[in-house]
Amino acid sequence: MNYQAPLAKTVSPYLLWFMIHKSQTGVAVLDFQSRIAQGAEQDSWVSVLLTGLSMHLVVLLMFYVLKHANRGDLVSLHVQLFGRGLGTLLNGVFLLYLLLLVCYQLITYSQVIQALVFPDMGTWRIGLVFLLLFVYITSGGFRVITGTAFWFVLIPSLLIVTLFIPLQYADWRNFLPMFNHSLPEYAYSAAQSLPLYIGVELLLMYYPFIRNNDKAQKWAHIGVMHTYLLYFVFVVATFAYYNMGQLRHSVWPTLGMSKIIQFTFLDRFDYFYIFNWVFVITPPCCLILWSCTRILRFTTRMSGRVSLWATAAVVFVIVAVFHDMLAIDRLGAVVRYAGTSLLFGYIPLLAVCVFIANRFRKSVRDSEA
Amino acid sequence: MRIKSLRAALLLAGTVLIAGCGSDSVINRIRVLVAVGFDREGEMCTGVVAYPNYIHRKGSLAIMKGSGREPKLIMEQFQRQSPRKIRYNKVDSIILSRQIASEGVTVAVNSIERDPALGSNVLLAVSSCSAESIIRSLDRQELENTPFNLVRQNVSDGAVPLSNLYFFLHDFYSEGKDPSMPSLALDKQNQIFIDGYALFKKDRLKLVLNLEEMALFKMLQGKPKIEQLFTYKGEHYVLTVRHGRTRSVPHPGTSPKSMRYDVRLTGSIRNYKGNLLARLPDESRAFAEAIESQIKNKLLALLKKMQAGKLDSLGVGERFRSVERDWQAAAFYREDYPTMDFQVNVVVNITNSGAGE
Repeated sequence: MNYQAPLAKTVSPYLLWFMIHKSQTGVAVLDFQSRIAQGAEQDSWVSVLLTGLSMHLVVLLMFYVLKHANRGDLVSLHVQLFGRGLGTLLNGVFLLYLLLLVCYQLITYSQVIQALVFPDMGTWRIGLVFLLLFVYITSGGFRVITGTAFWFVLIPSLLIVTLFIPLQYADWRNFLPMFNHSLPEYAYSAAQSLPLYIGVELLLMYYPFIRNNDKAQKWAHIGVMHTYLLYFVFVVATFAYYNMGQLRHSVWPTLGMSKIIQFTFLDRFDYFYIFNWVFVITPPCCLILWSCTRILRFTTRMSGRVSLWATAAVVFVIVAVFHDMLAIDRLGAVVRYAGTSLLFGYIPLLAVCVFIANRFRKSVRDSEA
Repeated sequence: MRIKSLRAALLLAGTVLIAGCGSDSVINRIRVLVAVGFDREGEMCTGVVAYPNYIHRKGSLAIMKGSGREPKLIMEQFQRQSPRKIRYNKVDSIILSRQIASEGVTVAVNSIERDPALGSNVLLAVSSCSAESIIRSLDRQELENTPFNLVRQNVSDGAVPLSNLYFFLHDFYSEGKDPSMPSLALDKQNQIFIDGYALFKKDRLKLVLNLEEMALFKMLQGKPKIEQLFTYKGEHYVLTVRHGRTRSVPHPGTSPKSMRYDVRLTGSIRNYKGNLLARLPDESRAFAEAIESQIKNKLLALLKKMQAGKLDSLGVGERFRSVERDWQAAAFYREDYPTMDFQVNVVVNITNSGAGE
């Protein structure tokens, strides 16, 4: 079935690599090490890799589902499978999830900036600056977002080189004894690492905009592999740098590693590191805003520009309202839970629905013949 | 046209907002603290800080003093004392008096660790004299004379064990290692110098090693570049270690458990007759054996001293944790560490004994 948007609006299939990878990396990279270490401790790198491998299955399921969507995206598939009423309701739920996801990214990054750089600055001011940037990029359309994602993969990748400096302080014995944990402990770490891969579900929205999308699956798998290999590098570097006791007391271990980096011309490299994270969160936030706009355009009569500004306004209000640490923590928990349920619960369920619908349609067609 | 004006408005709004991010902190109009010292005076904690004064002193250091119940409260007092903004993102040295260190540094460490303004390279040190006198000795001195640069120079020279906030926290939160930091003092000319190495049992200062013991400690840690005095046929000589490597091998299966240190040193002999050793292989071997035996005895004595003080500053527990699957810190330090057998093997390779007679 493979629906594809007009050629002028599509991007080359290889860019799916960058889109998938970039939509998965966000603020979760800042503190995931502390979370996953609560289970299998120094062995939790195994859980990160296994969870990453499981994402290939999720990608397979998404491609299967999307191939059977009339207009190649989740929004049309919902209506196609469940009818206009229930389909619109499900689209609304998905829109709500996306809104919470972008708010979570923005609020968490604002928190980092407030805690480490500008303690006196309000969340709404930081949120507004970044939101205007996101709206500007998103208003350029999907191709502009793709270009941004491409460059914003390359630029922060240079930071990986700086891991060499904290690794000079590495104690590789932190990994010993290896494989010294029980299955439930590995499972706990795996459950904690699942939210790292949230974002890949945005493919459900931009799939029609990939040229020759039926043949683009390999690039999606490369993107997923890029993500979990990157997380693996971060986990290894973190566990070599911190011991378990230290990790338990570290709020943002990834940023903490940058605090040891010092150059003669730059005393506090960590400030540079913090602001480099803009390159990490911008593409997923833009992609989410764009997806929200698509849903609104499909389900309401709003134009693209109006729906983009409406989405941005809602995000701004939520970002400005959330001050309470407990509420922010709860928002994070909701997003993590919802994202994980979507990837490992709803997408397989959707695949089953599509499979049953196809079987039903085929049997009807056969009986008619 | 509408799009252009919208873009211009966006750009303007963004610029205004970003401009708001930069608080007005011109470098010579704020007090950027570089070194901080804390002492205990009864119930109160006193703090003395050094900062470069760019207006009246062309960047040489000036001093401020405050007191409070906690180090963090002293920082607030400095804000109230100062006509200019105080910033401590560039603090590179934190000196604690021995009294504070002996009473426990948990509170201080917690507030230092949680303070995002501090980097991980900050030097933590204890002072044999009061921390105030250490910081006051920096008055009108150049910025490069801070304790941080003094210790860094000696660390890079290989004489002092590598130590900073990162290492302290690493050992502090480790189950199988105790933290340590350099000890500083003032000489008669009011110059700061390293007078030893302070060993902590978790958060409390327990023992200060002298300079010779500090060198041996560094030798056991690995990669030493130190000088060792030794005697041969009643004469004193100095071994300058150019390269060294130490390997620690835990033996969890023996009873009692044992730990072996294999120390390999390559160096030259100072104050011997020119390069005579090169021409006398037998003499050279006898020299090496004398050094090996003396260093071995000193290292064993240091290990026993730390063992007797129940201090594991070398991370013996960590070594056993890494090879034992069911290692328990409490049981290890209660039953195994006090009776542990230490073995030291020293191999010395003498490359030369100088160039002239």
